[in-house]
This record gives sequence, structure tokens and C-alpha cells, in this order.
Amino acid sequence: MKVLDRVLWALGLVGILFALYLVFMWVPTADVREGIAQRIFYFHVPMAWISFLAFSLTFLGSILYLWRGTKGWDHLAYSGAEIGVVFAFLNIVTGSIWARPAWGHWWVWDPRLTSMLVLWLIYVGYLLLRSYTPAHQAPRFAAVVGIAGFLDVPIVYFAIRWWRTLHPGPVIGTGGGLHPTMLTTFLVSLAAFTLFFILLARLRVGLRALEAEIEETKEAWRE
Amino acid sequence: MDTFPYLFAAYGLIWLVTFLYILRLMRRQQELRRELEALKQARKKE
Repeated sequence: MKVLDRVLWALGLVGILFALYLVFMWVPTADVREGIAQRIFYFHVPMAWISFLAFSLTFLGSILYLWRGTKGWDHLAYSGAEIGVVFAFLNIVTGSIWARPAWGHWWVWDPRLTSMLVLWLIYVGYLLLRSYTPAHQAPRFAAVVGIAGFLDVPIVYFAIRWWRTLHPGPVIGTGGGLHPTMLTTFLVSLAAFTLFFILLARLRVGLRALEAEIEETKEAWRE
Repeated sequence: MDTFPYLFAAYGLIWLVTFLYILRLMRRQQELRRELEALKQARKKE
């Protein structure tokens, strides 16, 4: 690992630890009914943010791959989908855990929750498609899913404005009327996870390139 | 209402899944580097 990478990983770790300190030691509990579980919010939203960023990479990588045909764009698209699936899963499950004390149910078929679940399923489908389609066709087929699937991202984001929902109002882009201490904690957490996402994406794209290099070396050998 | 178990479960899950995912990536990276090196060596010997 290069020195710059080590420094960035260390920064990311410090950022997340600082966010944890703010969440558990500094910010007051905002909702008496939900109690301390309300603090799930500070990591639950960044999980969604990371998944949106990751699916944006898939969207961008897929378009550029179809346009240019460069493998690097396909590596970016694949990496985005994998990271997005992991963090969308965490967003959905932590949301469900938070919903139990907040709403009295683990799950409701609310527009925000349902559209997020659909988004996760779309990109699980993307990864399955890549696993079960012949290698020479997989990137092209998956790129179509990667682009079409991204249409669900604005639906997830605007679901709480377009339909009546139990879910709290938007925070990203509006601040959501949060108290300054809550907003600071939230923004620190969001920044730390954004850095973490950049590092993770670099790692995953590098790994994907290595996988491709091995495949090419094997193919060259067979010929 | 004591909601600490929910908080613990949510944060525990985030750390567990993230840690396992990074560990998997790191291990895969090591495996691939070894495989690539072995392939290159085998090609040189040919």
C-alpha cells in the first residue's frame, strides 16, 4: 500500500472514530420516545449516501463503457455495484432496527423503504447477471441494468416528497431542520464515510483490474 | 423505554459487515497478487 493510501486510510479511520465520539459522547438524544436508538440516524443516513454514490459510479461507468468500450469503465461500474449492495443492505437493516422503537414495527411497506429495497434488489440482480452470463457478454448486459437501475435512485430520494410516508423528512441537501449539534455530528459522519467510500472504491477498482489482468494472462497463455 | 439494544444491534451490524467486507477484499487482493506472480513465473519458464 502506498504512503498516500495509508495516510488516507488513517484519516478515514480517525474521521469515523471522531464521528463515533460525537454520536455517543457529545450530541444529545433528540427524541425521548425513541430514546438512544435515535442515534442510529447518524450512521444510517451515511449508509444510504454511500450506496447512492456507489450506484452513481455504476451508472457513470456503464454509460462510459457502452460508449467507449474501455474495460476500466466496466471495472468502475462493477465495483460501484458491489459496494452499493453492501451499504444499501446496511441502510435497510439499520433502518429496520431503528423502525422498531420509532414506529413499533420492524418493516412497513412505506414508499421510501420499498423503493430502497427495490434498488438493492436491482443491483443484487446486476451482480447475479455478471456471475451467470458469459464473460464476453456480461459487461454489456450489466451496463444496461446499471443504467436502467439507476432510475430508482431519484425515486428513493424523492419518495418522501412525492408520497405520504412514515419516514422522516430529507436531511441531505436540506439539513432537515436539525439542531446545530445534530447537524454537526451528522455532517462529520457524512464526510468521514464519504472519504471511506472513496478509499473503498479505489481498493475495489484496483482489485477488479487485477482480476482482469489475471484473466488476460491466462487467456494469452491458452493461445 | 430502553432502546439501547437497538442502537447496539445497528452499530454492531455496521461494523461487523464493513469489517468482513474489507477483510474479504484484502484477502482477495493477496490471493490475486500471488496468482498473478505464479502465472508470470510459469510463463517465463516456458
